[in-house]
Amino acid sequence: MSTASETFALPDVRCAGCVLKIERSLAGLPGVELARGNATQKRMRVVWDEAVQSLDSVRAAILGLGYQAEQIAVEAPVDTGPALLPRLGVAAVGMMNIMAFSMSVWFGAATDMGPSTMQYMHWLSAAIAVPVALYSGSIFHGPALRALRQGHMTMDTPISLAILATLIASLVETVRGAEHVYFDAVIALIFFLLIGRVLERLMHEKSGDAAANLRGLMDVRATRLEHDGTQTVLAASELIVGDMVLVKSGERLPADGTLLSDLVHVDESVLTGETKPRAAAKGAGLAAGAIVLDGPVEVRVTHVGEASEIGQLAQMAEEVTAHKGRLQRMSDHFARGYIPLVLGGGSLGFLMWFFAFGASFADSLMIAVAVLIVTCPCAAGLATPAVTSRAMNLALKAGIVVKSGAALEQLGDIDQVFIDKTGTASLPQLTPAASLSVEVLGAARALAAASAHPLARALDDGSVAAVSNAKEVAGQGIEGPDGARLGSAAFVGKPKDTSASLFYRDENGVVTPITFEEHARAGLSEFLSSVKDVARPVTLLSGDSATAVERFAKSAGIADWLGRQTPADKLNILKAAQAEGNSVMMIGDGINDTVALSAADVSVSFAEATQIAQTSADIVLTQPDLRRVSQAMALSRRARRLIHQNLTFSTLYNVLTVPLALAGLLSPALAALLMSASSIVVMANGYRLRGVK
Amino acid sequence: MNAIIFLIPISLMLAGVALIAFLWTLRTRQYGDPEGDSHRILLAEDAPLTIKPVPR
Repeated sequence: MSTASETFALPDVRCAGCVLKIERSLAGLPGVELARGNATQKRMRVVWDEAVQSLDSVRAAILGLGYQAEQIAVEAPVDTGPALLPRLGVAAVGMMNIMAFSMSVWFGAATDMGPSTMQYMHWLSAAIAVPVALYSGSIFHGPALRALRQGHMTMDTPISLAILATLIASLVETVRGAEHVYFDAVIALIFFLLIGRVLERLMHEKSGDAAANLRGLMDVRATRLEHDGTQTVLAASELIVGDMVLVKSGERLPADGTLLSDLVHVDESVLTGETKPRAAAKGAGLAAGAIVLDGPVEVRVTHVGEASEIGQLAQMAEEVTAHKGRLQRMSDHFARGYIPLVLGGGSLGFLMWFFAFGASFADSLMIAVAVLIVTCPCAAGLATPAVTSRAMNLALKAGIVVKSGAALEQLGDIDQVFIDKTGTASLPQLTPAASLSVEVLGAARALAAASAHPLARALDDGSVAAVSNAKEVAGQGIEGPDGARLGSAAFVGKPKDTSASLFYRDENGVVTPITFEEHARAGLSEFLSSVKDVARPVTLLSGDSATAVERFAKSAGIADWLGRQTPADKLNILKAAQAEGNSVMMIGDGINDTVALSAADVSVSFAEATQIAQTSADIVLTQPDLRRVSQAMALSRRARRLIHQNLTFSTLYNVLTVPLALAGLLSPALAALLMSASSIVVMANGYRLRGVK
Repeated sequence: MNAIIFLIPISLMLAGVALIAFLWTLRTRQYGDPEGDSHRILLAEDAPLTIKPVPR
């Protein structure tokens, strides 16, 4: 018995219950050996007996339940460095136990703990602290050591040094039988720093990588038609230009190509953001990533991989992301300048006390460690995240998912806002213009009900029964038995009329253009007026025709608009605005907005937008209400005030405590306490931020 | 005071058990699908009871 297995992406599964429903239903099929879904990743792995089931029958079974299923190549897990969670767990258990010993020593010192009991506690603490500091602290020691070998220093260097110095000093003190050891401070430091790292990595994984997601769309299986008439299934990446491929309905095109079959409808929403399916005639170009709605069709491959339209979009997104990384490099530069100061301060403390003032080696080392700990820019490092994490939580409660603290800070600074039209400023659904007479609309709808064409679908609202015996001319229009026609300008005999894309001709030959209206999204006008108070007026950027964009802009009250914008055009406009020194926001929902979204200083998308727009956006609105953007901007301005206060406080803290530590007035324990206290003050200040109104 | 000589190692061992349990949940990938697993326990059908024949 031979088995086959495949992993499917289930893009339109909304809840865990749906995944379980598919699982149970598949498991009930003969020959299916395993169906295991992951509701978090919206994926399902299915293993079946090839003698009983086939790939098509398994897919058909999922489609039959009403869910899309796309085959995906399972990518190898990305190496994200050493595992943080086990190290965090070890540090947590270590900290709890060492704290218990420290507490009893602190209280015991005031009462009746004998020196032998105290030393027993110290030795136990040391036995726990040393392995924990080496294992859990390896997250800091490793990079610090690697950087040191290449003659660099990173933010990890002083942390690693402070951990090791405090650990060694505490060990020396334990051996000497002294009263003070600092194992609790070391392990607590590691524990809290690791929590920060874990949160950081989670955030990074969630935001994802726009380019990788775009390429993922091409990561499908293709069915190649061989010259001898047989079919070969292969990965899309193995296709070459000139291959003939067969694409079934519901499948994604594996490469750009020319349509060899007759008329077909394709869903290009992932590429254009346009939710209306496009009708493509024989010979038309089709783009990889688009979904064929009424296949199977034969396609001659013209561009593969990076050369395809979507591959080029991915490259653009990549370049933009690389550009955005500059902010990170700037903070590294800052660290490079600051760390020698920290280390210099520490060694200065040691040298000064050991040589100039003749203090003992242990005392001098304690002063140096105190300097290293108080100069740790923890409060300064927390100043911003303490406020932004609070603000992100408040925003989340209001249905605004902010994916990075940086985006939240920038939000209050926006000078110029660009917004996409279809699906963003306007609702994705079209409705027939209100100016059409009820009679014409009724008659046109009766014809439309008999057609599957996308425009007919937009017209038909189910209110009128379909005309029987209607004759449809593919790609042209539909004719009723009485001679009434609904279709293109040429089909109704008015080839020069461009006032609409759909026309109705009644049985007497009177032609009426059927125009469609777009409706503004909820909160658009409030959003426009709130932007006016803080930034330049909003600009509408759309890939739609100039007339459609103008019509919508005028009805919505937007003064600036640009139609016929390709993704590259949108990017250039944004870059030009940024070159003038503006901080730019982009609001969009389609794949064609992806590049602009990645390039903008802050980008906003909706939960109902394409997956890729969501991954490239910094902010995702769970409810498509543009007022939320104004609320987020107001929240950001309040947050920035608190961040400013925090930065002032943390600077003051370091300016005041470093001289105290150098003067030998702070023990390492007191330094650790001050450091924690300053962090707590900064965190508490963040909590003063109030919710979204 | 002699009691703590024994009690502390015992409490450390208990903490170690908790740590090992946590590491085990990590290793067996129990955090891979938090959403699905939380629903699975409610929605999935019970596995049929396998009743072993009583030896006579």
